[in-house]
Amino acid sequence: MSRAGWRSTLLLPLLLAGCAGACASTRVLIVTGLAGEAGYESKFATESDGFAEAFAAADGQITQLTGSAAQRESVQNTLTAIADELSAEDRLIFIYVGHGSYDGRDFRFNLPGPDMTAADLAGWLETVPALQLLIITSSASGAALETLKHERRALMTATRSGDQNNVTVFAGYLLEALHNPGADIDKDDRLSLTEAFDFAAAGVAEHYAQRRLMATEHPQLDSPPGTFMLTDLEPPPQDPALTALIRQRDAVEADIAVLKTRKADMTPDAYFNQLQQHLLELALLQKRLDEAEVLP
Amino acid sequence: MMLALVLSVSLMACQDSGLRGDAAAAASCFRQIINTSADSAEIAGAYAGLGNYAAASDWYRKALNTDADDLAARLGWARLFASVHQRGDAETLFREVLERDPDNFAAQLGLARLYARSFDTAAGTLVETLLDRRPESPGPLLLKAEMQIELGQHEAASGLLQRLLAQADLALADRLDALALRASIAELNGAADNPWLDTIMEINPDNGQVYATAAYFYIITRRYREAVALLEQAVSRDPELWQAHSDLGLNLLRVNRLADARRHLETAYRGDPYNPVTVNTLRLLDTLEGFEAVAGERLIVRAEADEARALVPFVQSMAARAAAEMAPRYDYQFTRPMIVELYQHHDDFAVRTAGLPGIGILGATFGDVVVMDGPGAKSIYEGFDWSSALWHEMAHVVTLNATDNLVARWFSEGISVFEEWRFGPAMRTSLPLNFLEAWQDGRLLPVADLDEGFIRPTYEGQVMVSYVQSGLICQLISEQYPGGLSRMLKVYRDGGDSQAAIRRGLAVEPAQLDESLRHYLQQHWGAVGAGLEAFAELQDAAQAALQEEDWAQSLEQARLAVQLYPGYVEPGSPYVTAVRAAAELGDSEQQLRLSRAYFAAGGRHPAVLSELAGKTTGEEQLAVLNAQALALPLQIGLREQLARALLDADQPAAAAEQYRAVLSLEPHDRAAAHYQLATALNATGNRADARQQVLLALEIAPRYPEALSLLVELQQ
Repeated sequence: MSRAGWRSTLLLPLLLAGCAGACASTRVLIVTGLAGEAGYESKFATESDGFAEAFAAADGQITQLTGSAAQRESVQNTLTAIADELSAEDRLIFIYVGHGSYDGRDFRFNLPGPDMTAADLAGWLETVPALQLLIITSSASGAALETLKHERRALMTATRSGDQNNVTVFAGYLLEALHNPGADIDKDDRLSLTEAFDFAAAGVAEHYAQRRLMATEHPQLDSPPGTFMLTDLEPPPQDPALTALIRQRDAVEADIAVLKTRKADMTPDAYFNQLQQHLLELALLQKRLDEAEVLP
Repeated sequence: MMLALVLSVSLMACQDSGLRGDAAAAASCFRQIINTSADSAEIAGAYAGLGNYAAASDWYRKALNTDADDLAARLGWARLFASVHQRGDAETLFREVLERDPDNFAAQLGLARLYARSFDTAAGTLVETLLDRRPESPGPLLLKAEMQIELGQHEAASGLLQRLLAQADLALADRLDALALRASIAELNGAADNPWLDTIMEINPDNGQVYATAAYFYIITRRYREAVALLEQAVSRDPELWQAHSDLGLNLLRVNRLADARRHLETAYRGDPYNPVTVNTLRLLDTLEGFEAVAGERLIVRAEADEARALVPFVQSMAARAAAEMAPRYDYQFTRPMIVELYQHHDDFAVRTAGLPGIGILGATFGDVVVMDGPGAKSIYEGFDWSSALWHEMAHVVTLNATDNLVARWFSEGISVFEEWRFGPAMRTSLPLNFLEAWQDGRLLPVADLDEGFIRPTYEGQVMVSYVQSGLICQLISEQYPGGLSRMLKVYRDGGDSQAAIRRGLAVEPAQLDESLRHYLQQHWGAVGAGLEAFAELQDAAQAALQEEDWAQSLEQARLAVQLYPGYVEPGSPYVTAVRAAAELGDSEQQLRLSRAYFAAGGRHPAVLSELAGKTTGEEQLAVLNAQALALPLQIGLREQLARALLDADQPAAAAEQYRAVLSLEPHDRAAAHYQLATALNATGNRADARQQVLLALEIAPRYPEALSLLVELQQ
């Protein structure tokens, strides 16, 4: 894919970075909870389909559980099956869209039939060897943070605690982050978990500020070092010539990073002149990479 | 006005020494009472006379602990609270006196004074009741005269004061108050001689209070420069007039002398730390230090740093238009820079305006200084259109300066409202329903009394009704008496009152103008007025159908409501309901037609405009995007949309302004904002600044492909 084309195909390579053959595989499980009202049913369906569409375009293996198929037992069975399929190098992305609640003890995913608790989910996920990303967009989802915390698991919730129990808007802004080039702060054509989260969290904050409403959700990201980051999903290039070009590009970027640390000690003219030199060098390297139709 | 703290003959004697300028004798006299009196209330009064309010309060409490029915002590305590700015406690104590003695004259007078200070119409009723009982009593006579001066009824007030000063046994405190009021009238009328002031100075050459009293009347008529001059005299004669220092500080702020204001407020605080106006205003000055000032030759904008640069392009453009178009309409030319302060927090604005939080207005103008709630304090979602409000305030700058602040309140407001309607950013003449109801019910005031609708409203919503009525009168004058508005301003500037302004400016009697307004309203709004009830019913029905998702019914009812009152674009407008219902029905043609009509009438509902921007192109789209960005100037997305449209319309300089605003709003994607600004600057031919901006973009995101391309292009 050429760099110029990334706006139309943005999200998926960024998140899943399609990788044939021996590459690690990624499974996506999207669970949609009970709506209760027609308005919420349509909202949750749109959000759930939005996530499915985003991840499907990157060759992700998607399982969507909605309506009566989204019962506690179905979720357990699906995760058990996934656990058998994935290895430690693989990845699991679990997304929950719907209502959530907190009774002071457990966070509950409001599903048809008996609710699923955060403790249930934590138990089932123990059997899944893959690196995990959990996105829980519901009300009160902050209450699940402690229970689901794990060294091989990144967690994103719509709220900071179980007390924030109003319907949330976080999922909409996260979906926007996945489609909006503006979320990719460093313009490297890869959307990191932090970039996506920051974009969505800023959107949520602005949503409430503009409407002069007290914010009833404060999204949280728990991403322990060493667990997978979306930026790490990029496949390494196979061609040695390209590898050399990428190394050169990385070296120039490292020079820029060093220069930035010296900015305060330099005159503005000297700083920007040097920066320009590095950037022109980078532009040249990037042009050669683009000509080879590579998306590093 | 002096607040009598003392009750007994002995205390009055002490007070009189002070009033004659012998502070040492007064203090000695008060101390003597403290040492010798067996009466707790009298001792409390003596402490109050010495300025030891805490001790005074303790002694009043002690007196009442001994005898809860000691009305003199309770009255003294009430007056003490009133003097230390604790209105609520004062009112409670006056009421407690009245519970024990319902006809207590002093308590009723105390309440009337409290009401008068907060411009409560109950003051007038209470004063008349008191004068019915005791026609020659100094207290109510003084209060009535004061209220008459507030309303500009100088002759009537002079008559009352003359009657009072003729009383042989008038107490010195009352005599001085009466003389101060009479001297104030002379000052307000610009009299060459002021024998009343001379008399006061004969009694006590260091009397500063008389100047503070006169300053009060300048303040309430917005003549702040004159007020400042008098208050400076007041504190120079009597440096311990803490209230005058506080008033001086507040009014120095209004004439943009910030450093002097702080000095006097700090002096006021040292002498009277209980004054909330002093404390609040000092806190506000601390806030102001965090403001960013963007200064130009003709305009200084002060706002919170994160808003200032985002709002400046809009404010500058409006100020330029005000100078080029608005001022000449009134034969005025700006000679000093206009200062615009925009507040992110309404309470800061309120303190800036009145020293106290909780005021209902959203903008105020003091000569060249406009202070108002910015779009960060209140938004279009809450029905606040900050840019129309700013245009309104800019019109006040013109009318106040064109008349040396002598313009009547109703006329200044009228021109401002008329300016909003005819030439403001939204150009809407959407008369609110409560005005139309007041008109239908015959509750509009004659033009000669219209100021009272602002100063002492007698029914809920009358202030708003008076704004609209004043605007309509000015609109009528502009249409039927060409040049009449400017001629009236000149009459005010020469010292004429409203009646003179109407007679000399328009060559008609005020009553004829009232009659013209009746015809004008009937001619232009008669049909709307007649259908008001039906309009309200249709509006409710449309809204109810919308709630029930009966889109067809909602659209039908809302369309009928629009037909009855096509200009109504206030919050709750049937246009908004109709547009939503049409959208739900998938009737995009009708949705577009209604949205266009709503926008043309000055409607600014964000959702309607957003849809309209998406369905229009070219100049029309640009107009909608501009209105949207102006309505919600702190929304980054709207500013970006506008900037893109400006670039497409080959207006790169304007686009660059918008991108600079985007950057000042701290967007999530700063690299893109710098890059976009660079492209706009490059399009204007400013390659040096474009290079700087693209380097800033790439500093954040070195691999940014479009920015790298632009850098290479600029390098070539």
